[in-house]
Parts: sequence; C-alpha cells; structure tokens
Amino acid sequence: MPSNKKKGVSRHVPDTSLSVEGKSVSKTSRKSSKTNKLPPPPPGPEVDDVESEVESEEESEEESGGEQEGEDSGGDGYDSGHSSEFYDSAEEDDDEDEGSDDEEDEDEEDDDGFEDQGSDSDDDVDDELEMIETHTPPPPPAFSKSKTNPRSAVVQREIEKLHDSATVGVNQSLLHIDDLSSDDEEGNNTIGRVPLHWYDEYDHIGYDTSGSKVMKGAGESAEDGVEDIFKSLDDKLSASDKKKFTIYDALNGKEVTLTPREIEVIRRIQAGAYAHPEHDANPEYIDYFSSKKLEVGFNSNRVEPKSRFQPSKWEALQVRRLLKRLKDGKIDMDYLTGKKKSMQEKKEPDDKPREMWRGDEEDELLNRKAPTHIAAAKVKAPGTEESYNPPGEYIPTEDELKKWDELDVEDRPYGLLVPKKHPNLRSVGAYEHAVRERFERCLDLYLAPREMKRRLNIDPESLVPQLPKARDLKPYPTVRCMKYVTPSMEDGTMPKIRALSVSPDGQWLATGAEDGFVRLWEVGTGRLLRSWDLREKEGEGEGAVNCVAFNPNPNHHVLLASSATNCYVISTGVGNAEDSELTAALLSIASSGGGGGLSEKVKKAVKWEKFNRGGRKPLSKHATVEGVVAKLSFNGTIAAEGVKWHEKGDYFLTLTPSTGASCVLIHQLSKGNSQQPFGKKREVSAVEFHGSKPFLFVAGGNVVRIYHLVKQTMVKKLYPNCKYVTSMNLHSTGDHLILGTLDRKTIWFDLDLSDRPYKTMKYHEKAIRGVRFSRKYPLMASCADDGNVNVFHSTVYDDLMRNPLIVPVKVIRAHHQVGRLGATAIAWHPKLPWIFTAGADGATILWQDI
Amino acid sequence: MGNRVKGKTKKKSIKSAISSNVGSERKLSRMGKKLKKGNAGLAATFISRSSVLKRLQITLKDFRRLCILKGIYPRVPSKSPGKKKGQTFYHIKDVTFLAHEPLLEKFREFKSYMKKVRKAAGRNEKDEAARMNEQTPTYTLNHLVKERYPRFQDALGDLDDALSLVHLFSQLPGSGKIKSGVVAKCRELVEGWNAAVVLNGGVKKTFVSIKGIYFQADVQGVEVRWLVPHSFTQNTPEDVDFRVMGTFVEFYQVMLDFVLFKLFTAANLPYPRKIQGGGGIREMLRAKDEGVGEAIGEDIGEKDKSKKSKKATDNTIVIPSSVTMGGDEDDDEEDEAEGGLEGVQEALRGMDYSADTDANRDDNVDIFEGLVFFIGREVPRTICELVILSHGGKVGWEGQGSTILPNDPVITHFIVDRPKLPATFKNYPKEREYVQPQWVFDCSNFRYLLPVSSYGVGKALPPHLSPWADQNGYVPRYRKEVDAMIRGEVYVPSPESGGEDSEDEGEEDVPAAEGTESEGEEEEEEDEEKVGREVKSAEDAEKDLAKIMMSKKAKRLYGRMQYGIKEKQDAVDLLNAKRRKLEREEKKDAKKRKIEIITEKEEEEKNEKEKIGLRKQCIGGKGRDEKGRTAVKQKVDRLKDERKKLGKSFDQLGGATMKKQKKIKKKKA
Repeated sequence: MPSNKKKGVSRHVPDTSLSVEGKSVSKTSRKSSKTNKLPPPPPGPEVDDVESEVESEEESEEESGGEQEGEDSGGDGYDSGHSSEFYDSAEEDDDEDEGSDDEEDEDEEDDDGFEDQGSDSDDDVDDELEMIETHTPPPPPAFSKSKTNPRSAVVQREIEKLHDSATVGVNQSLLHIDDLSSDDEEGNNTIGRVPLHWYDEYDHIGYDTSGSKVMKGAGESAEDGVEDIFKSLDDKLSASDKKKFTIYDALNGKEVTLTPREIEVIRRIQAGAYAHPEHDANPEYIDYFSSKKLEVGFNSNRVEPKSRFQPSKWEALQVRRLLKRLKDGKIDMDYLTGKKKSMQEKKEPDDKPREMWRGDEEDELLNRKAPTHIAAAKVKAPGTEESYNPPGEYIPTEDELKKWDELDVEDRPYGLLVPKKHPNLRSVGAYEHAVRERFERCLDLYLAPREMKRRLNIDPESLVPQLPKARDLKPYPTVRCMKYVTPSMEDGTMPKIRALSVSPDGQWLATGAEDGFVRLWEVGTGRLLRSWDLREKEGEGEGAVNCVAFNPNPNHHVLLASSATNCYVISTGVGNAEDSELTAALLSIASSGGGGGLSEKVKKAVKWEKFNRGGRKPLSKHATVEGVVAKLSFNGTIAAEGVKWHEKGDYFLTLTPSTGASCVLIHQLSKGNSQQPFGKKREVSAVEFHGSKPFLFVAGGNVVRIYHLVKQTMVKKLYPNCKYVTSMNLHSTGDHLILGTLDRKTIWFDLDLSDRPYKTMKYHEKAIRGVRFSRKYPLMASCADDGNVNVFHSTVYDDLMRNPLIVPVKVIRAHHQVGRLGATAIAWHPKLPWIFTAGADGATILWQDI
Repeated sequence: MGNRVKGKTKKKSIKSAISSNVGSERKLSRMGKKLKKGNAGLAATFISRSSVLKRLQITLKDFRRLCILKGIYPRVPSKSPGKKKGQTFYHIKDVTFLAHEPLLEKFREFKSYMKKVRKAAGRNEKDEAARMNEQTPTYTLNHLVKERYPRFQDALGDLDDALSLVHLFSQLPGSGKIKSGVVAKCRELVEGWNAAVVLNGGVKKTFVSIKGIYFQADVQGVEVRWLVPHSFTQNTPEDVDFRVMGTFVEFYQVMLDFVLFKLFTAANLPYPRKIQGGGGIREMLRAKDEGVGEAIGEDIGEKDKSKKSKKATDNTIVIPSSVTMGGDEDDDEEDEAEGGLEGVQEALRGMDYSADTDANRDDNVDIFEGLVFFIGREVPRTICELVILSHGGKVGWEGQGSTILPNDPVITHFIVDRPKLPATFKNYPKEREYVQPQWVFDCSNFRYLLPVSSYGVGKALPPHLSPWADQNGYVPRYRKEVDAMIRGEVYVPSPESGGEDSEDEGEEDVPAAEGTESEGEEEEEEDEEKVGREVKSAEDAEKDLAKIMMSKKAKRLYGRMQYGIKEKQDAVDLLNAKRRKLEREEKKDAKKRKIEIITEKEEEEKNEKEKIGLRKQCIGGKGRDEKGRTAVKQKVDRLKDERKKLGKSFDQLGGATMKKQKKIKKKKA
C-alpha cells in the first residue's frame, strides 16, 4: 500500500509556538466556522525555543525507537504505515533512506509538506482544498485511552509530553504528532497529476489498473478493510464529539474526514497565516546587535537619495503596460480572476435556446411593412418509383433507359433517379446524388425568383358552356334523305359539285358542277330534269360552273349560272303558263342581247350577248338544252358565290375580284343594263344585297363595308379580324350577318350591336366554303373543306337587349375530301328545315329533320 | 454712351432672350419638376442584383450569405423593368431590410478584423496572429429566427428543408470542408428531433426510398416531411459549393434549436440535453429529475387515455353517414340485414384510391401497442426505433443502452435483415416472429398488422409502396390487395383495371363457385355497359358540340387541362400495361416450372422403374424376359425399333433417305 510512505516530520515538532489572530478565524467561511468550535489557540506565548527543540527531538527519537520495536514485535498490518513513518522520520536526519528518496528530496528543498502539496495544483485554490487528504483519522484522547494500540499509545505519550511542557502555547491537539500528509496517492486512481476538470464532462475519473473506468462517487465502496475500520471508529468518534468534518476527495471519489489539525491548517491558510500551527510567525525578537555599538563606517551617515522616496518609474511603466494589455484584451480578467480556466477558452456566445414564440405574434405581424412573403414551394412527395423495392412495373426497360440517357436530367420522368429493385433493405447503398440534390434545393431556395401564382383549381368540365339541349331545339336536319346522282364524267370520275341553289318555291334544285353543266333537279323525286352545258366549246374540260342562283321571285323562273368569265341567264321553263309569261317578259331585253345604254366604263367591264347554242345536244332524253337566254362576259373570272340576286328578283350582282374598280357590277335583268357602283380599285372577296334596304355589303381585305346604294355613301365598317372572307350571308331580318373565312372562322355580326363580331367560332378543321341562314327557321349552317356541315340553332330576338342564341345542334359528316375540297356548297330549303349539301366527291344530298 | 438720352430706358438687344417675369423657382412650382426615369413604378420597386450589391456595398459572397440567413429571395416582377432577359430582381423593401441588418455590420467588422490577422501573419508574428485569430468577432443568429418565423407555426412550416439538410450534414464526414463541430451539432439536433417527434404524436408515414428514408410527422397540425439519407459515406461532388450549404445549416441549426426548445419545454422536459451512450429516444425523453418525470408520465398517460377515447368515438364514424351501419358488426349482427353490409362494402369500394386512403382509417391507432420489438444489429436502429415508438411498440436492440436482451421472452418480433437465421438464434425462445424491417414500415403505412409470412427472413419481399398517393393516380396492385385484406376480402383483379388479359387469364384465379355466379352478372353488366357507352357517346357528342361555343381563352385552358389529364392517364396506362406484361410472364414461368418439375419427376420415376426392372431381371430369372431375351438384347431391340420408327417418320416427311433412295433408283435406271 502506498500509504506507507508517509513523511516523518518529527523535526518540525519544536516549532510549536503559534499565534493565531482571533479576527481571521471569525472571518472564515462555513468550513472555518466549524473550526471555530475548536478550542481557540492561546495567544502565542513566549517559548524557550532552544530548550523545547532539544527536548522534542529527544522525545521523537525515543518514540521512534520504541515504535520500531513495536512494529517488529507486533507486525500489525493496519498501523504499519504509521510505524514506518516514524521509522522514516527517524532516519530522515541521516539522509540515508532508500524507500522514499524523492520525498526526502522534496523535504530538503521545501522543508514543509504543505507547501509541497500545494504545488499539486498551483492554479486553483479550490482544487487545492480538495486535494488535501489524509486517510488517517485524528487520534483523539478518548480513542487513545480506550484502545491499547501500540501506535496510539505512542501518540498518547507524545501528547502528554507536549502537554507537560509548559512552553507549548498552542492547542496541543493541533500540533502534528504523527505526520504531515503525503502528496503521494494512496487511492487507486492513476490519472496522475492532471487537472481534475479535464474529467468534468465524464462520468468517470481515469482508469484503474485493470483498465476499467473509475466512476465518480464509486470510490467509497472500493476502500479496503483498514479504512473501513477507521471509518467505523470515526463514526463512533463523531457520535461522541461532533467535531467530524468531512470533505469530498474528488480524485478518489470518497469522503475524507479532516483531522482537527488539518482543519486548523486550512483555517490558517485561509487567514493568510503560516500553514503550520507549529510555525511561529512572530518569534521573539532577539536583539543580537543592538547592544553592540555600530561602527561608524564610510557610508554610515549617508543621506538617502530622493529617488528612494519617489514612486518607481519603472513600476509605473510596468503598470501602464499591464493596463494596455488589459485594455487590448491581451490579458483576460476572467482568466486572472479564475472565471476561465485558460486564456484560450473562448467566451461562450449567448445563443442558448430560449422561449421565442409566446403566441402574441399576431399584433407584431400587423406592423410589418415588408412585401408579402412568398413561401418556397415544398418538395413533392415521393412516389412509389423512388421505393427501394418498387413493383416491377416501375422499373424502366432497357429501351426506356436508353431514351432517358438521351434526355436532359430535367426532362427525365424521375430526374436523376433510376428506379431499381433491391431484394432487401441491407442491399440498399448510399444514394449517389444525395448531396447534389440537397444542394440544388438550397440553390432553389435562395436563387430562384419567387412569384405568387394562383393555381386554377376548377373542374375542366365547368369550362364547357351549359347550352340548351339540341333535342329541345328541333327541328333541324339530321338524316340523309335523298341523293341527287350526278352522272359521272367521261373518264369515270364524279364531277365536283361547285354550286347549289334552291328555287324559291322549294321544288327545284340547281347544281353547278366542275364538268361545266348546270343541272336542274326535282327536289321531291331526285329526278334530273334539265341540264345545260355551259362550256365554251363542247367536249372541252374548261369552264367549271362555280355559281348558280335562282331568282328569289317565285314568279320568275330564272337561274343565273357563272362559269369562268361568263355569267349565263337561264330560263328554267318549269313554271306554269302565267309564270312563264312573266319570266318571258323579264327576259325579253336580256334575250335580245342587252338593253344597251351602258356607260363607257361598264362597257369595258361587261358585255351582254345572246347565247349561241351551237348545236349542242341534251345529255339525256329528259334533259334539254333549251333555256339559256343570255350571256354576260366579263374581263375576269367570276368568284365562287360571285352572283347574287336582289330580293326582288330584278337586280343582281356579279363579282369578278381581279378586275379592279369594276369588280362589283350591278345588273338589271329587266332592262339588260349594268352599273358600276365603285370608281376605285378595291379588294373584294364577297358581296351581298340587303333584303329590304338599299344596302350593299362588300367584304374585302380585313373589313366589311356597308354602302348605301341610293345615297352612294359608306354607312358602316365592320371589323371581322379574319384573313379572307369566302362566304357572306345576311339574316332575313337584315340585322345579322355571318361570314365564313379561309382561316376557319365563322363570324357572327350583330349589326345593331357593334362593328366587332358578336361571336367568332372556330370549329372546322379546314377553310369554310359556305355559310347560310335558313330563311324560315332559326337555323344556320356552314360547310367546309373538311367535308363537315355544322348546323346551328340561331334564334334572333327583336329585343335589342337580348343577344342572339347560337347553339350548335348537329355536325353532319356530309362529304369526304377530294383533293383539298370537301363540302363545297350548302343551301337551305326555303320552306322546310331541310338542307342541301354538295361536295367535292360529286354528291348532292338532301338532309331532313326526321 | 454718347447716344443715350437721359431718362429713357435702355432697350435690350434683339439677341437677348425674352425672359418672362417669372423666376426659375416659381416656374418649377408651376410646371412641376421633371420626372426622372426610374423613380417610380416597377423600376423603383424592383432592382437587379448588381445594383443591390452597389447599394449595400458588399461583396457577392456576403450578399449571398446574408440572403440565405435572412431568407431574402429574388421576386418576379409583374413586368420586367430591365432590358436583359432572365435578369433577377429583388424587391426594394427587401433590400432596405437587408441594409438595416446588424449582421451586415458584423460582417464588415469581421472582414476588417481578419485583415489585421492576416497582416500579423504576414509580419510573421505567429503568436499574435494565433491570439487574434481566436478573438475573432462572433455573431448570433437568434434574432433572425423570430424575424423570419414570427409564429411558431411558420417555423414548423419551414422545417422540411431544415430537417433534410441537417440530417444530411449529420452523416457527412466532419473534416475538410465541413467543421466537425457542425456535424456534431447536427447529430445532436437529429437526436433531439427524433425525440420531439415521438413526443408530438410520432411519425405518421415512413417510406424507404433509394434516396433515403422519408418520414412524415404531424407536429402541432403542421405536416413535416423530411428525408434521412442512408447511413453510408455520402458522395460529395466537386462542383457542390459547401459554403452555401454551410450557411443554410448555420441558420437551420439555430432555428431547430429554438423549435426543439419550444417542443421540449411544452412537454415539461429540459432542453438542451446531452445523453451519453446509445440510450435511444426513450432515454432522451426520460426526465432527469424524477419529479418532472412523474409529471410527464402522467401527461403521457392522460394523452393515451384521451387517444383511446377518441378511438372509441372514431370507430363509429368510419363509414359515410349515407350508409346505415351501427358500430361494430358483432354487436348488431341481428339487426343488420345483409344489405347493410353490402352497402358498407360498396361504399368502401367506391372510395377513391387516389384520395388519401388513410383518411378513412383511424389515424391514431397505435398498431404496435403491446408488441415488443428487438432490432438486430444489422438493421438501422434509429429509424426502426422511431417508427416503432411512434406506433406504441417497445424496442430493444443489440448493444449499449437497450433495456431488453435478445433472449428475453417478452420479445414478440425480432427484426432481422440476414439471408438466414444464424445458428445462435436457436437458443432464443420460439414464440417470437422473425421479420424483415420492411414489415415495420409497411405496417405503419397501412396502419394494419400485415401477415408476417411474406416478410420472413430470406423471403422475397412484397413491393414497398409510397404512402403518398402517386401523382398520376396509379394504384399498384399490392395496395389494392392490402386494402382488400383490411376490409376482410380477397382481392380479385377487376376487369376494368385488368383489361383484356384479366378476362382470359383471370378466370383461373377466380374460385369456381364464384365464377358461375359472376358470369351471369357479367353478361348483364356488359349489356348495361353497352347502353351506357351509347349514352356516353351521345353525351360526348353533345359536349363536343358545346365546346364549339367556348371562348378562345376557355378553349385553350380546357385544352391544356385535357392535355394534363391525358398525360397522367398515359402514364397510368403505361404502368398498367407493364404490370400486365410482367404478370403474364410470371404466370408463364410458373407454368413452365410446373411442367418441368412434372416432367422431371416422370423421368425420374421412369428411370427408377427401369433400373428396378433391370435389377430384377438381373437378379431373378437370370435377366431373361418372357421371350427369353437378355437385358442387353432387350435394349438393343428397343433401340432398333426406335431407329426404325424414326426412319419411317423421316421417310414420310420426305427426308434425306428418300432423296438417297431416289438417287439410287435413278442410278439403277
């Protein structure tokens, strides 16, 4: 046991004289207040030091000798420490000890065990206090008396002797009689001389010899038997006189009971006195020299220099330097005062978490003036494709992988991730792009411009307008009822039907075909009644009929047809006798080659002629070549829908777009006359008469112009915002106009409302070829190159406040496309909700409302 | 001078400007000042980044840091005031907000201080430089937390990114670009957060993905979802700027600290707290002071009670009120007609998968209540622990801090991730189940204790599905199966989802008894469907007509929406097609295997029979059959017969022998 090596200090015994000021005792803290209970040491008496020293030395020698004997004879384990101590101390004077060389050396240097111990931890006073340890309880008189212990007997003797010596002025019990505690450890801790606070953060202090942790506070149980005995003795003592004073030994983790002497030592240290009670702080002044007369020497009478009475400049400099360093923070006051354990340690910033949200933030929020915060969009929740073990369908095939490789990362369906199946959790490794993806998210958070976008959270079906049901809006044509079979051409193909017109009584249908024939059909039976060959020369493919128009007057059975640059006036000859007479009267001038009296300008533009039959033959036995009365030849080609009748059936319009100012001409059939309404060259694509008023609608360029024919002025301009008007039709009321355009638009103008379209609809896939209002029914239809005919219900109200009701009711897939053309012409039956359609496939079909 | 007549005013020269009597100031007041460009409107409210730098007089680096810390981001102006394309703009108020930030001053201070340090180092005053370096000015970010998140809910709402980043950093090596202190702090925060999650109702959803493990928790009514990377060394690409991430982490650490403080103190627990050793989450939650601990224990107990009572009430409201159903089926069996049950099932069937399927289930069911888990050492512990604790289970693990030992008979489930059980496990009690970790996650996601059989050790696992509905609305088969299982049914692939294949192949799956019934029904259904289709087509036609009347804007919007819908549908269709193909292949494989096995067996049997026969012949009857042939002779005869047969068939087929024969004949001729 290391405790054997206790230091003998018997030679200190002589310094017994001790003086302690009462003040210092009273000033001490809790610990020292306990020590106050001790009998106060008597004021330092005058001791004959020389004598006592001699005496005590003798005594100690005696004792040690006795002890030696005792040890030899007894050989007791537990007090061997003390015996050896005494043994050592006896030998100490001789400087010959082998067992504790180092300690002796120290003793020689310092001559004081306490100071030595203090050197353990110079930097900390508290530590020092903790480090003080003696494992031997004090031998109080009661104990020493009761037990017949060799050691205690010796101690007792010693004390008695000390008591006897009247020279000793200190409380005898405080004088050290056995040992000054050693700085050597007897605990089982092996941390060495390192600051204890290194272990502050751990549960243990160092490791024992077996390498296991020495836990804090676990030292008590580790004590050996000897100490147990002492402890029990202690307990007894403490029961007897309550002077027990224990402190905690942090190093070994045990309670240490202080002996009164140790307490006294502590008290003295605290009071700033010499530690050892033996020490005589104020020894008797021995005036060795005062009795002798000082010799008068060379300098004996010298006057002290002034500098000795003045503050030192050097010191002032030092102080200044220190102050400067303090100011600069080079010396840390916290360190100097011991608040910090080292200079290096940084001040901990005061950012410990605390209560931050108390729930009263709403008011504060109101005071903020910052622009509205836009929170970053959250990352989307991961789908099953990200799973470490997804279902098989999520795993990309090789083709898909190849495709993904070619794509940019952003365009790939799962970004950087490639779904993969892992058979179990342990086979999953680190994700290669974990850091990158997180980094990119960070970049997004602070670099990406943010914007509030309102997400449209509506049902797409709610965008579809709620319209009246089509079946409630009957009648409208739905079913294909009759097909008017045009004979095929010589090469076996069907001629494209270009134009269509129904007679005002609804009995007859005229079609104009690509083969240059105008055919007249009986609507009810589908019989081809007449056909007229309008080609310039028989057998030539030139001269497709692109426009036919029945005279709207039911009494006049006159048909206009145009082919290339010519317009023909045809008397159909299907009316009754009365009508025939009226028709003949109307055509009397025209049939004789026009009335003449044309202005010079018009003469250049149009020429009225008699039609030369030229020996043509009828196509069938029912057909006839009779009836073509007159021919108007123009400078340019007549446009599709380029011939329009006025409502009264006397005037008609022709449109030849390429002929400049004379593109629009108005002809009067009864007089065989023509007029040119416009003097300027203009672009015109469609024309239309107003039914009841002297208005002329001219569509050209981007505008529809309305002219007053009587006043010769332009009344209104409409802006349809379309490319090229192919077809124009006026409602029977004269207040609504529809346009069909090449850019697939159907444009509805409410003339009372605005010069902008009331409705623009775009539903055909190709250019629109014709738009028509039904005369009698609230129906409207359009045909286009995609072969479809769209039928609309279109109620028009007299009330100016109500908008027209337009409801699509039927899409008739009437014709198929041939070349670029589909459905080329449509015509409403004047009295029934029937519609005639003609197409590029050569079919002419009647659709009824069955 | 000479010409000037006294008393007359001098006329001004013609060249001099005609000035009005009005002074310049008055003129200005009358006319108004000339407006300078860029002083009002958009140009004044949004400024580009370069001009922000000029205004704040800081470097781009500092500006970036400041932006990250303060949470300032560029905004999209309604109309770009700049001329450049793709320019980013900051709101002027955001910029002034930055300008008044005390951190800005700190940055400057730091910068100038570091200059001094560098100077000292340059002078080779090493001690001085080191000393100064230690005394560098520091700053705190505490004030920013309150500023950025005025309410606690705001902070919770922004936790997703914070948690994901902190979790990532907690697994990065604390050396080189990242300081070890940062990583350590992140680890601490992660521990704290896990404990806080358990305190606040636990993890609701868990998803093990390739990227890591996703968790979702509901903290005070705010859904928080975070990603925990798999705990391996992370690949750190060269071009990733760790300074940016570091700045984010710097702020998130502070923010998380405050959030955790709030969460812990709300539960009467001290924060921050250090737990040493592998104590796990429970240890973290155990209060240091016993008094506090008791209080908490009571609290938790009360919570549990309230939860249970809630459960009891919730049970009755699982089914929509339109369906009549009174509480548990057991109680009201007699009252409830069968129709009622059917109604319930119909209602359940009708529920939309894409909508949150968990919504109709009780959210607060602690499915692991009463179960004790033991986590094998090869299984990621914290993850499993978090999930199990969140659902009311008890956890033990191999290693420090566990309260349960592996041989404890209390353990009900042993989580193992090994190819097979090690021999040492035989000594353990046999009542426990050995499951793979996916079982825990799947159970928690489905809120249902799935059968352990398919999750056993070394078995091929069923697919692990995302608890969040797929964006395109695809519902994997396994989810349907489990949902059916939860309803107490057996999943039968429906003809709609299965498509054509289920009609031709699905018949085998359907039990015969059900099949006969369902056929008749199917026919009826088909008829109904036909009618339905016609009706539908008519409706579609009507809709197509109505679309004609849509305005251009609406039409475009509608078109875009339809495009989106179609894309989703395409994705779903693709997945369905792939699934069907896989299933078909699987079936084929299974059949093949079956046939192979059977044929193999047959062959084996044959061989064995032959062998036995031969042996018999050899042993008894001296190897002669009824015709008196020896075994060898028999074999030779048999082989000859076979060859003959083969030759015949070959001849019939017009084989090579035929040709040879013909040739021979020709030669002869």
